[in-house]
Amino acid sequence: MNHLTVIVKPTNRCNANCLYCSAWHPVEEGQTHTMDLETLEILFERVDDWVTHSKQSKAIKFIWHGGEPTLMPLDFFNRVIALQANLEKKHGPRLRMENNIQTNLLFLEKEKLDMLKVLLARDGNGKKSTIGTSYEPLPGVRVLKRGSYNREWERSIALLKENDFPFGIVYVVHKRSIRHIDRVVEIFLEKFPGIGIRFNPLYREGKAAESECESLYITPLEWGDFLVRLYRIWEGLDKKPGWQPLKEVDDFHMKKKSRVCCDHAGRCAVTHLGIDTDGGVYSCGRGIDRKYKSFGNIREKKISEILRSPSRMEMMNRSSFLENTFCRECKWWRYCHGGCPMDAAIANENDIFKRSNFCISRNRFLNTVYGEPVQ
Amino acid sequence: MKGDAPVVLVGTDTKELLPLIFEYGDRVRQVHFHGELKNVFVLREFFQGTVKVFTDSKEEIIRNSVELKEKKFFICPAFPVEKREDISFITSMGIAVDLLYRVEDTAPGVIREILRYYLHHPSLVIPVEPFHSILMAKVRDRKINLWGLYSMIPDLVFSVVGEGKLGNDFYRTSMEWKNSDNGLKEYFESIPKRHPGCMACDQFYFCFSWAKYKRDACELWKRILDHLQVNAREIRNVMAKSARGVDKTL
Repeated sequence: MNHLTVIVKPTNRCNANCLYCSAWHPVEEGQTHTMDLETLEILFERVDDWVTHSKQSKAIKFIWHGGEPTLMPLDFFNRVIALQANLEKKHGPRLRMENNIQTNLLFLEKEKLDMLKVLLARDGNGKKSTIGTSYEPLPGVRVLKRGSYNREWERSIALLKENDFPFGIVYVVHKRSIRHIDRVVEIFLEKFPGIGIRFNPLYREGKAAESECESLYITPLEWGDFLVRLYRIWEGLDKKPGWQPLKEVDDFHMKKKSRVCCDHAGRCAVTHLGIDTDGGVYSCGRGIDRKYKSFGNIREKKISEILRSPSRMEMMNRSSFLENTFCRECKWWRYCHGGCPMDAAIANENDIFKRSNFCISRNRFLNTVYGEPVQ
Repeated sequence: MKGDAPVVLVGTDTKELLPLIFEYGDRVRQVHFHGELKNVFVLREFFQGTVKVFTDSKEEIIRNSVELKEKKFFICPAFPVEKREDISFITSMGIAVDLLYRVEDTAPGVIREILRYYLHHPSLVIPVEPFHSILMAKVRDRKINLWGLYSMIPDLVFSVVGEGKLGNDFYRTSMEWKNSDNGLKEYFESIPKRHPGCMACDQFYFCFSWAKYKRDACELWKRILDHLQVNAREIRNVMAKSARGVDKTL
């Protein structure tokens, strides 16, 4: 079975005004901000064609991203649900689809919640896919154009809990998080004890690449040290929560799992695609944010053509290139595979055939915590 | 010379090669013998690894065929390969062939014929290299590439007996190979800039711009690798079906 994770950005619009937004772009004339229904229908026609002309079964995970995807009209997602139902009926077990969503949860209403119940339902067993959301306990970073971000967000979290929606949190680590790490961790443990949290470093993309964000930047070494400190807290907890990337690296090191997340697995170009509002296809959500070498447009090309695009092949070859060159001597290769290509692109003027700047962070973390890789 | 680096010994005289076999011990990965064929056999008493015998004499191969077969030496033709029979006469005697060092000097049509012979001839039971190693690597997802097949990787040492340099065409280089770190690391790291097209090639992971190194043999190698890829995929499909119990003929 072919597994593919497709990150779709149906809109660039957002109802928040976070200082470090990586998905933010300056408004350009003629730029599409919202995916129209025609593009959406073409996307699922392409899926149909791909499954029809393939010998292998397909499993596709759609991650609805943005911008803020819940700003899309309900009709849009109702159409997604209907198109997917049609395809599943047509292809039976040869096509499995599931949906996830990455949302700031702001201004969540009953109608949207009802739609999410259907969109995120899995295999009719009553279970729902996990909603991904973002949270910042420190003030003044994630902000609303009007009102309090956290008050609004916590209201929605209460709604999710009432309605049994599983959710996970992305936390972007910046300069102030490092200064206040104990406070940040305390809040997470107190408010979200059993919740999965992914700690990501702030990276210089979108609004975060602007000079206004400079005071929040962290160095690769600071990110490495942050991970070490976080790990020390995490390993001391009685019941270790699903804090990433700590848990997945630890599981890999302890041989409980054979794979790490997309940014460390070295296979992201094989497993992921990103689709922009206008149907442009990129490596993933971060590829869309950076507009890094499009693989084509879903409106013009079949999925099989997009999968054969030279830009995608370049991404796929990155891992074998690094393994035989810049990372040849690195004992942590299997833990990292050169890191996220988009981190390398940011650090090296769009040259993905270099190590990412977070190589220093990973070395710091892995050398300090584990010393030697597991054989 | 690096203390633990693997070594390929290259020479024409077993009297010079044997002391090095003892000196390097387990580090010796291969021995390449370019001398008179009848003199090579003594090596087997002291070295059980891969020995490649380079010869331009078909008569010598035939004359020594029994021992070549029994001692499991590879014949690397140093004569022009102009037709499939230049290879099949060797395999028909049960002797393994390694065409690796002749691939780029052989006409594409002849390579195609030999590939077809290797892949489809019902009575062939002996490997024809490098096709066999490539096919098996692709079937089993083994991490090797053309540089590895040519034993030209940065941390590998060629120890050349005699004149002290590899001055012949077989190794596609005339540089001194006391330590092949010399130049290769820089070449590898410069590939995205030097050969940007390679980075978008679906055979890059297997070729790693070998086919652009020193001379352009890209089209030929691409055809070989693509052809073997298709066959490897077919073998994997059959193996998968067999594992699921679908194909009872296996």
